[in-house]
Amino acid sequence: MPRLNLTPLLRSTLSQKPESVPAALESIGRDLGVADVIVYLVDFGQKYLEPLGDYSTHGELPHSEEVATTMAGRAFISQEPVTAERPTGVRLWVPICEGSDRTGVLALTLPDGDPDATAACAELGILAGYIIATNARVSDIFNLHRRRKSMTLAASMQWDLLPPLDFASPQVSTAGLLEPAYEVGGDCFDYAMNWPVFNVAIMDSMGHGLNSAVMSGLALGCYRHERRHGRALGGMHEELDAVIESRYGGRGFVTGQLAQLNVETGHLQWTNAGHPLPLHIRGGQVIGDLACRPTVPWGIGRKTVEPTVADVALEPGDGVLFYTDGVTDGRARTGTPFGLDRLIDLVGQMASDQLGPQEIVRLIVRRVLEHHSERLSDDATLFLVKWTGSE
Amino acid sequence: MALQVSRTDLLTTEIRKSGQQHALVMLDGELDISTVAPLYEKFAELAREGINHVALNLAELEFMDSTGLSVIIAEHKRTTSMDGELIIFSPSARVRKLFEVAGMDRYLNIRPLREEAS
Repeated sequence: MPRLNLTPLLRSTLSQKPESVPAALESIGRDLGVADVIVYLVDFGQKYLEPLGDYSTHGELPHSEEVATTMAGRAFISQEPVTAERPTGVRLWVPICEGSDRTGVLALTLPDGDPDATAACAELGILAGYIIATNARVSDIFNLHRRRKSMTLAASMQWDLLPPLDFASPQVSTAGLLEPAYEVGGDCFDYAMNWPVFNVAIMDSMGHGLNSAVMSGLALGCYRHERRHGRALGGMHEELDAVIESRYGGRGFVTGQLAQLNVETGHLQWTNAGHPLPLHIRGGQVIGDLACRPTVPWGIGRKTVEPTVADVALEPGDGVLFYTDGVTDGRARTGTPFGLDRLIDLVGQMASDQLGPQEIVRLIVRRVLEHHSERLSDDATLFLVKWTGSE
Repeated sequence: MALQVSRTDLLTTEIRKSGQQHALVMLDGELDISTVAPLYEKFAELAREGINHVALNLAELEFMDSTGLSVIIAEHKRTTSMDGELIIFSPSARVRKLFEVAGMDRYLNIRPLREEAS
């Protein structure tokens, strides 16, 4: 059985020329008959797949592929290989993922539809994810390829703060999205899987633009610092308030929630700093919000009010949808807000028990953008955590 | 008493000053990210004049978002730091809900609708 030839890759230092990535992948798959490789990276708005520039010759000139309507897009959405018969062989599109983060799509041609070769090419997509992730740590080129249009300074800073948008493990899977992707400033989220605790934070710095992005940087840095010190939820909550107050003197505020999910037991705990309550999803329906008595937003500096730590026992398959008020209350210049009722109905309509977190948040964001004719007045962020259950 | 009215197309601000330290601020319309900037300027003006007792009448405010909340928190901070206070009158149910979600109902001095008072 033909195999991927990893020796050249493992023996050589990784090239930092992005245009050499498709060629490297082609040589790794040479024994399988892999040809005409194109690497697509998904744009920040997750609407288009952008081809990575390369100097090799192609049967067709690589161009942007829309996620919603193309074969490449179908591979991206389904996270499964997609094939099409061509006169020269079989054209194959496989997802590129960095761990579980959906990075893009790898397109290539195989001589025939041999299932073993197809399966090996699916692994080539996973390998491509690692190659790109490693190179992207020391190069701007990959980041630039993911931009459909110019990005504000605030948005550029904001994206650099974020963890990978998607995460998946056997016990818990998550996905987050921010819009407007190229002008976002102020909203952010973070997570960390510190077994058996999955840590989550969502934050909304009041205001918009650069000031908010700088404040988010401070808030997120403080959260990570405290989390790495093993602080309990209530302690992290109070420290965030103190740090933002000491820096902004009561003139800058951040709303948000901090949560910890024990992925072995489903026990979820969270605190609330003046932020819209997360929604509890069960069996494809929103069954209520996850109430927690709010403290005032972080940064007001109310040391006397102890944060309430709420808790609930999740059932296997339950989802928790964190969001910022830009999703429900944001408005286009003349329009009506999307509203909480519409959000709840939408989650119920989309058979969300059948879909993965990535597709749920992507579809919600699409609907919110359509509602506002693609023009959002405020940052809108969604972060969905789905607990599969232990074993 | 000095009366000052300013309009953007969506938010009208009316300010009545009385004495050296008091002002009544009435907001009519929508207070959100697109209308908040002029209100920051108005409050800064009050600060420069040394006005530290501000009554904010929200009876005619139809819509507010977290940016609006932010300017109100800042004004609360400012007045209390100048040994004064900010009192908020008559928010609609919708605006009151926003104060509650943000945990601000226990922090700010909010007086209910006139009909409900007494």
